[in-house]
Amino acid sequence: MDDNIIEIRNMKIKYGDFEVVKGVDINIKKGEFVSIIGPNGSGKSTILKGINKNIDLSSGEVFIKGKNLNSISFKDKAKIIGFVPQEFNVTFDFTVYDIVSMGRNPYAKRFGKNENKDKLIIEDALKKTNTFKYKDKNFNNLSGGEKQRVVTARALAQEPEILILDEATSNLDIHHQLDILELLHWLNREEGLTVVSVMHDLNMASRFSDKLILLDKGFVVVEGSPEEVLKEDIIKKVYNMEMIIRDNKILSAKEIVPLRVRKSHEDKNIKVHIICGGGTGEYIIQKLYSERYHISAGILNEGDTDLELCKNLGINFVEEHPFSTFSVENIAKCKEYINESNVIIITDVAIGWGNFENIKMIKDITNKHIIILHSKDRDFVNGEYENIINDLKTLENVSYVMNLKELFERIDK
Amino acid sequence: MKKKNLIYIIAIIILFMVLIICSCIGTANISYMDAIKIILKKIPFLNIDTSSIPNSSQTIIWQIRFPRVLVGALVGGTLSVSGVTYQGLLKNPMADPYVIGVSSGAALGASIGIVSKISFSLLGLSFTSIMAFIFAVAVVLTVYNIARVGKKVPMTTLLLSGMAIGQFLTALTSLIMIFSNKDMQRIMLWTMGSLSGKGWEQFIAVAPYILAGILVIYYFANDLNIFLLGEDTANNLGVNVEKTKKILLIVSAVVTALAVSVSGIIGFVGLVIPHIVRIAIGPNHKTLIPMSFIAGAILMVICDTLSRSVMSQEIPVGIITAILGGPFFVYLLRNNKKQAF
Repeated sequence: MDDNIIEIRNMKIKYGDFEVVKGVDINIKKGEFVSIIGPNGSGKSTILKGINKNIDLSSGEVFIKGKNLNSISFKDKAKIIGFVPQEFNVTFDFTVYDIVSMGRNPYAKRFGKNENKDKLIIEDALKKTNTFKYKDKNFNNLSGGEKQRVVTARALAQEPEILILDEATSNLDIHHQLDILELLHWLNREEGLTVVSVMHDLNMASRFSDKLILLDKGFVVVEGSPEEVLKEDIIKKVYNMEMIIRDNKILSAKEIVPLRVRKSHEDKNIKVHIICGGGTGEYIIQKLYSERYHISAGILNEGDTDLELCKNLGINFVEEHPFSTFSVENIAKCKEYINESNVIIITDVAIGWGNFENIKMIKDITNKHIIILHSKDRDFVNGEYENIINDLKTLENVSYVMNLKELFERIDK
Repeated sequence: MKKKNLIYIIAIIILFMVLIICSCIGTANISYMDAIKIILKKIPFLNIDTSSIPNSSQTIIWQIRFPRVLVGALVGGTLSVSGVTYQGLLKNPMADPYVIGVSSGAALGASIGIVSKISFSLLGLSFTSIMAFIFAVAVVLTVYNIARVGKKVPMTTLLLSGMAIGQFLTALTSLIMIFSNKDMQRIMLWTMGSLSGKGWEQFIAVAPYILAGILVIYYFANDLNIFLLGEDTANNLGVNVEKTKKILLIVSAVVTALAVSVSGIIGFVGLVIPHIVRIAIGPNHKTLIPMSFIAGAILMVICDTLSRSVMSQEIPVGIITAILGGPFFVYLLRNNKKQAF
């Protein structure tokens, strides 16, 4: 295909006898911002090394701008691909300007001096990465984030068409991570640079990339837009952990919330029904879920954050349209869940006419453990809620707890 | 004018002065003016009149001292450039031209040559010199191939295998010395390095190849600069790392072997001059290489002159270079705050 700036066909790479990349096909279009993601050891960095001619392929081919990489000299490759590594340690006293000027090496004349054009390009690279002010400083005296920007400037001095970054943000604090990514985004959108980046931070990758390529154990598992790739069933399996993937509406991107890796608890044969809403149940649901309780929740309104969590975790719930009274079917369904459960929890959700029915459903229950979490000023039904609760409090099967710590202590009793 | 150019000019002037002055020093008493005239007579357009100077003086200056001085300059310059190259390739400030076995190979070859008593010569080089050269190059190729893994040559493996082979060959050389007691002194003097008796024959025999080799090394000056950042980075910046390593290693080894075959193993110059020049003008190989050649030439000529004039018996020049070079380097290190390497 003509607009593919990088084409990888059946790439296999071995370290000694061990095959790290087991047959990978990748196409990257000119101007795309692509992130390669995957667990440690999946072959991400190795693929980058294969593209950059740092390592030989044991089989397969790489095409850069339509030409086979084998027929491109190292010098010409350096004029197309600028590589930004994760770490960069220099044992000698070079200034920032020296380091960035080495990016002009692919264009340097053997017997002669550098031209003025080189000087302009070096200065331009320094200004774009906001490192011009450090140009005479000793490179080793800079902070990690500043060094990363300088190394990026050096890659820019190569006047590349493709920028390849190998975990360039992994050693940086949040500010500097965002700084580099915003710079890359700008270079990608304003200057048309194709960006190929290996990133560990899935959220950053999701936010900035046009395309994600998910690797696992040397194979491409899936590739596509962040929406297509960041799906729970795939990511959970590949990274072997529990997580929630939700929409981050502020950034208009997918957000991954990692939950748990170690599944230590055995299945608890205890069913818990939670009356919640508005985010009051998120923590409780998530924790009980990890401790292997069986959970149901209801009745919740469409769009409610607790409801979204239930959907993500695959928990039983009863959903009602917003701003409507509960339908007969939904009430019946909820009552069924309540009947099956051993424990009922009321979170500190505010009670108004829209969800008061939830409380009414349980007011006469005497054979199940009811735990009520305290909250001030939550009665928006003219005191009727308080009345019910005060009656319930007197019963033996009801616990009234003041905070989450007490709540979790009570559940086990 | 720019500081760099000024330093070059001063250095070249010093070199010329040293070449001429040292040619004037010697046991036979020849005045400076006469000596200068004899040398300058060879330049066609100056029309200098040397008819009043006795022929013996002319012979001494032009056939004996001046060419010896030139050989000294050539050897000193070559060893320095070779030292610069190895220090850059290996990223090791302790590297000198002999690290991968050139010296031990040359010593073994020379001992065999001396002991064998074969006296034919080829292209102006004695059998001993030729043997030294052949063995030196053979050792380097052996060490290179031992260290090679597929198409790559890891530098640490290269260093270590050079050390191992070097030790082995030194042992063989010592064995030869023990078994031919009479030649032991000759072998030892050879290994200490000396320019005694070296003249136009030797100079013409090796100079073209050495200079060609040094030009090849200079061609890669930019690459050597980038090598300092690490081989991966060099790759990223467009250097064909393995090919460049191979060429530089072998060319340096060959020019060193050529120099050593003529002068024996003169130490310290190749180790110390690169550092001195780096402290003076910085690590950019585009200036480091030519300046190191000039500085090495100057040092060698001075040391050789001292070696034949300080005492009545000639001292091997390798001893002089070590005696002078060492303390001077320490002095520089102590006085220099910047990290030189």
